[in-house]
Amino acid sequence: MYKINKRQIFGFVLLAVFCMVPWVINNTYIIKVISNAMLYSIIALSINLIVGFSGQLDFGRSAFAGLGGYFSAVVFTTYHVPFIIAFIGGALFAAFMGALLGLLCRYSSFDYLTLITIGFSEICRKVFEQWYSVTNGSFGFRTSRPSFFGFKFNSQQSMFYFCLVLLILCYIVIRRITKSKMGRGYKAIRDDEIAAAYSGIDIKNYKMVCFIIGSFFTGIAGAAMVHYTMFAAPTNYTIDESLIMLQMPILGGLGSLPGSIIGASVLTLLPEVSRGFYLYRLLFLGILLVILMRFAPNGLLGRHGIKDQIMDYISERRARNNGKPDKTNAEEKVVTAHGRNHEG
Amino acid sequence: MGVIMKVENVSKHFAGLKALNKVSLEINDDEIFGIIGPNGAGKTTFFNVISGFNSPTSGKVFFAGKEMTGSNITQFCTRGIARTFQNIRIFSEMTVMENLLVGMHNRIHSTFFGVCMNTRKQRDVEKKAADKAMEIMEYLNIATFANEYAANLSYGTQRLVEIGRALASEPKLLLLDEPSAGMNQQETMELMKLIQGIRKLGPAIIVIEHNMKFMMNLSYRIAVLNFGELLMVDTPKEVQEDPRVIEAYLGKGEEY
Repeated sequence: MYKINKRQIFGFVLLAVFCMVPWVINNTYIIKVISNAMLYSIIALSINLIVGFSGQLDFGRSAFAGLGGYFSAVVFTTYHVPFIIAFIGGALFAAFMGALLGLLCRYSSFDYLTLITIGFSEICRKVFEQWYSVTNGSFGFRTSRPSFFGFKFNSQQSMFYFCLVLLILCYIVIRRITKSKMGRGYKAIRDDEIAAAYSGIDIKNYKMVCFIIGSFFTGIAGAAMVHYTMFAAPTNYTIDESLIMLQMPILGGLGSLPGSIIGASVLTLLPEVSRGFYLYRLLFLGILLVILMRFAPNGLLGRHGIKDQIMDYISERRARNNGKPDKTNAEEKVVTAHGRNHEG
Repeated sequence: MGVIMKVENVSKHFAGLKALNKVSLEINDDEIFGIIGPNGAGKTTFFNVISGFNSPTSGKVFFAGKEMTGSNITQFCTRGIARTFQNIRIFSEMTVMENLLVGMHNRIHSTFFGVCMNTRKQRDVEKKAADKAMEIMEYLNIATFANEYAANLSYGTQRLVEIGRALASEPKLLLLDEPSAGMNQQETMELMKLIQGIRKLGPAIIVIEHNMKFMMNLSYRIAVLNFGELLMVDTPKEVQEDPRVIEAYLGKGEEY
């Protein structure tokens, strides 16, 4: 039924190699960093869905990670609910709050979404900080590792696989959404709202649903993070954190799902390279964003992103080195490009 | 034969400006209906009103036997209206295939569960939609561009993509807003044949156009708008010879 092509084989090999990592590397610190990068990848994917596909700007993603994380941790630790229910519940809770904000925008305008999310993230941070009886305030909330049907994820290795499976599941679902009618609807809205409306797409509902789905995945990643570190603190859910999260898919390329994973990996691994860098990360990220916007607004893997530019450069070089036939070809291309410009 | 679109005393005012003033029209489901008029006569406003982009200030709009006054664009589209735009509106960051699939939006029935699980039914639905999109692209001779980004195409091809997207929704009524704008003589003739072919496929068509030769050959009936008012509705021949139309376009001769 399925045709297996080169890309898929490459993907499977990469995955197999990746599965070996915890066996080869015994350093728990490195495994921890990689797991963290995988969880941030899920958040980057969810942001890509909202910002890259449906074209809404969202500055409050960390709040949704926090909502999912706190909900799951509190329900699991304080009320002793089975882990799987608490975990999914955290994601659903984040999606529910996303639905409330979405409804707010649905009946006013999605132009306000950016401002609303900024305000909302600040409200959430304050609630986490001040609601002592539930969240234990700024001391942070302690919880425990995930456990499924009696099996407890105590070792770093088992957590690595937990994060990996979660990432793969989320990636597959988000990829399927973007390849379906819904994903095409989101892209259509991003490209041209009026034409999208004339294709029979209910724009406001689609934007709202996209925001809810994105919130669900952010919530699930947030819950996983809290159970992984066994600790939730309000300082993890500030607006700075949101900005870094937002930068991950932008660096990787909006509209490209593998790009989001690469972007998230780069931005979580870099600060770990040296602690000195950690101090200056906001400065560095700011400069990086400006440079990106100037030279590759579509990031690493987006359309006409850095990868495409390099590929174009290589094929051009190859054509030049191959001698005359390709050269004339290249010249023809230039001519047609000019012709197009005149037509336009 | 029957009436697909009926407009009764429709007016549209923008603050003090009367863009449309008590226009009444009936459009049959088997004709190519032309709308002409000088710049600012209210042609595009008429399209906007009968497709739900603007709701009329007063008057009633009936489409496919149902009153649709005040409905939004989505409701009109679901009921069977599709349109193209004066300045091309395509989804430039999507491939031609995806553009057409977006046009088919309301014809693709997939559930959220089906999408997430990638069920057999979901795959079948997507496959069928892609096949149909391919069929339309072959009809329009743009099948070779199926996987090309729409932004990379030439102006004429983008027009065809836009028409293809409108056709993909299987409309009962197709609104074409200046389809031949920016085309040369040759392309305009081809477009005319194409529109006549599309009419035979099913949908009734309303065309706005400035190119008189194009309109006279294409339309079965023509409505003339001037300053938001309906001057006349008649066959192309009658319209061409009517002194009121000539006056609207060229102005009244001064009497010495």
